[in-house]
Amino acid sequence: MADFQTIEKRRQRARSTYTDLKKHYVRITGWLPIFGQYKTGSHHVRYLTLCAKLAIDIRYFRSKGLLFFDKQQQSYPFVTFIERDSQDYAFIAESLGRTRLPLKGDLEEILLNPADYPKEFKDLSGTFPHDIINLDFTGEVVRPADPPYNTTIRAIEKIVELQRKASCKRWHMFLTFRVRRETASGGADDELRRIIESNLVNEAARTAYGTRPAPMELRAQEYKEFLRIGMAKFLAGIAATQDFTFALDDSYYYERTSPEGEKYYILTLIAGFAAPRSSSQLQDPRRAVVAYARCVPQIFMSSAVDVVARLRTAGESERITTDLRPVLDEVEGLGVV
Amino acid sequence: MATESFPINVAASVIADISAGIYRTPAGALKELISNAFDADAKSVRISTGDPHFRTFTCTDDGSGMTPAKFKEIMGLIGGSSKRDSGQYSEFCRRPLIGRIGIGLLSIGQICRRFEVFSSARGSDKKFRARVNLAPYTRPEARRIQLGTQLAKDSKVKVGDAEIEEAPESSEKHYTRIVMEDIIPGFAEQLQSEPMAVIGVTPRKFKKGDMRTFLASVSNDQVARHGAYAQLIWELAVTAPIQYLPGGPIRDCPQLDDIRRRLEEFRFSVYLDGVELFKPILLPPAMSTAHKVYPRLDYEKSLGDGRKLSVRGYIYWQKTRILPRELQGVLVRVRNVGVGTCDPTYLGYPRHEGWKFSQMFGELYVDEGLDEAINIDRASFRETDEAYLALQEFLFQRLGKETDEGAGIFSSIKAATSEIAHRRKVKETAGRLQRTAAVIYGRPRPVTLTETEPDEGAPSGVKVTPNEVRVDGELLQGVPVKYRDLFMGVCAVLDKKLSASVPATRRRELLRKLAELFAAQ
Repeated sequence: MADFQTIEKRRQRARSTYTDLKKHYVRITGWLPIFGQYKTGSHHVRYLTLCAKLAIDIRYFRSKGLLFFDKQQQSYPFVTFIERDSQDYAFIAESLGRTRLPLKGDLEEILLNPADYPKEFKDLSGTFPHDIINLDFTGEVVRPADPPYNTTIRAIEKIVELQRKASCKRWHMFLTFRVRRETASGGADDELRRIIESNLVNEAARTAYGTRPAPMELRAQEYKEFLRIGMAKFLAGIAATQDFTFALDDSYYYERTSPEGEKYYILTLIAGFAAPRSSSQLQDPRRAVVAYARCVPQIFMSSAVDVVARLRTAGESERITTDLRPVLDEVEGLGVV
Repeated sequence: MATESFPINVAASVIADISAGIYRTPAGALKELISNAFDADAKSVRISTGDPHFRTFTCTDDGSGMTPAKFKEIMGLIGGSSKRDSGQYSEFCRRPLIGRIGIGLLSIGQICRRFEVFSSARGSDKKFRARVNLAPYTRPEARRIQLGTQLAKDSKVKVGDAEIEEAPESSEKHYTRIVMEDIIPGFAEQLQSEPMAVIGVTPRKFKKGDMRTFLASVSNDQVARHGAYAQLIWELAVTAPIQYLPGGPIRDCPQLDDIRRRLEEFRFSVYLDGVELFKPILLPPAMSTAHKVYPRLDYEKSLGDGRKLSVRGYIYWQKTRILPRELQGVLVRVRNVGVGTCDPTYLGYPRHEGWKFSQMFGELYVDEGLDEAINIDRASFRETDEAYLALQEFLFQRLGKETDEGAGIFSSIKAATSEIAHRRKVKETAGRLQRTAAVIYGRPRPVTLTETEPDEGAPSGVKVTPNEVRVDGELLQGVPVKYRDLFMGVCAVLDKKLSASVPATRRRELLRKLAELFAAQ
């Protein structure tokens, strides 16, 4: 277990970002419309989140009427949250009230080692399917000390598998992670590069790839773009193996600076998954392959939104600030400890 | 004969056993954490149970917090509380201190085997994390370690291991947060259980929301029928030093304002899984329910050992059974915290009073004198303690012998019950007579049954008193009370049969004769 001071530094860093307008820009323009797609009629959005201490996302979508909150029972019956830090877990659980499943633990550990966490795994897998799964990781998804096929990657795979096993027809994943070339994993990057290169033998994909530098150069010159395409392709691959079609609906990036002065990017991918066949149809591997082949050009043609540039647009910062204010007031009213 | 002396020892595991088994219910253990927060001048305590699977419990209060040294002192000498060394009241809010012997933190041992404590003391720029593991000390080896003579420096009795680390914290923050993991399986299972299902009773659904709704949803019978989680909410809400539901405990009873006010002045809130708890006591269930309050059960007595017993209480009675059943009885609160649950025997009242016990609820706030009588589980009393005996005697006397009104509460209830029964009988008789009058005259006619002599020149209709019957103001002499109903019945039959053929004046004459006939009986 990490020593207390390290934990506190990490928590301090996380706390300083909760008023971050860049993050909220992504919430408003990226996440909010997706919630709107699922909140239809009497259907309530089933939401799995790594919401962090202040659970801004849960409070925000509730305030927008997109996440069901039973005020009388002080309950979010369609929300599942997971938090590994003891103090943060306590704050979330105590301030939100009841949720469908409050789970203290490490998502990756629970998903990948069900024998060690049988009860937790059973509880968590019992909540599937979800309409939206928000994996807001605080760190990198490809880390230097880990093998390319690391626990985060495998946990994402497991989640897609659980969604398929729960017969989910359509869902979205919000994947947010840190991008910093200096601390990236060479092995994982090499694999991502090879995947991208292998796609470029296809004419349609090559056209879609456009004028970007070759993957090797892209990695060196535009690492965040390299990782954006690479991770999206990776997700598309997982989707195909689990009999889902994949679409990269949106992606966003913005810069941040650590307390130690290191610059890094935060990248968010908004990915849609859908079952390509009805429950009465037989599974057909060709259908998945075709779907995968179709989504590759779409990924290559996409481009990420530069959040910082958008916020420079006149009036945009004020709009975002105003939108976030009620949730911040609510959080401040909680007397955070 | 040679005398042999030998030391009396206790196995170390006894301490572990105590730490793991003091409290009878999950609420009993959590209640201790709430009491600790109250003593630490917290304004609010927030508890999360991890409902619905109960895998992780947390409890956070915004009280004065602890320094690492204080935490070590508490954990290092269980049962050696120094809370009351500097007085009977808390430092900042001047609340009467609840804790006395310093075992509150050990109540966690009943919930889990492993927990973390995070705390920052008032004014300190540091916080600490203590990780405590009790698991090794519940093993059989602990039974071989002896307390007593072996309690030398190098053979301390350990109940658990604790590690402390510090980190910076804002000096404006002060709190204590406890995160309990590795929940004892039985504890989690108990909370998920529906005990009544075992005996074939279908568990009832209850609303987990705000307290008023919760109370309404469990008020039909017994909280226990709704499962252990409902009981947890109930017990915590009933026993904690928190406010009553608005209007409670007894509606429209200004004589209890001082009790209400004392709890309001503490400004102490408890939240369980996001819901603020209030004492779920709001009687009568409807204002139309016949009820009576004995608002002043106040008592002070100096005891032989120098203690002083000081009591402020009340008893409530209603004509119907009090529900939920958990409210039937008297609840003793020592320093504002309920000790156990409502005692349906009224501290062992020696006479059988039958159904009355199910119609009564009472609270006794004991502010002084009774602490030493509380057993270690804080849910029962040592019944041989002088203060307890004095309290018992006082309660018995008020119940059986005297009230402010003279007679004992039970006698008063009996009188009130008779009064209500009489009024009901009068109402029923009036109704019956009205129906009879309708039969006699072929249409409904107003009937009044009076206890006094009727006014002269009474208006039309049938009037019956214990001594006479009047028809349209005319006196029918001398029908004895016991024959009144029969007389009216006979009148009805005659009237029905003769109304077509005999004029009204003749019929009245006939009634007069009949009245005389009945009078002659």
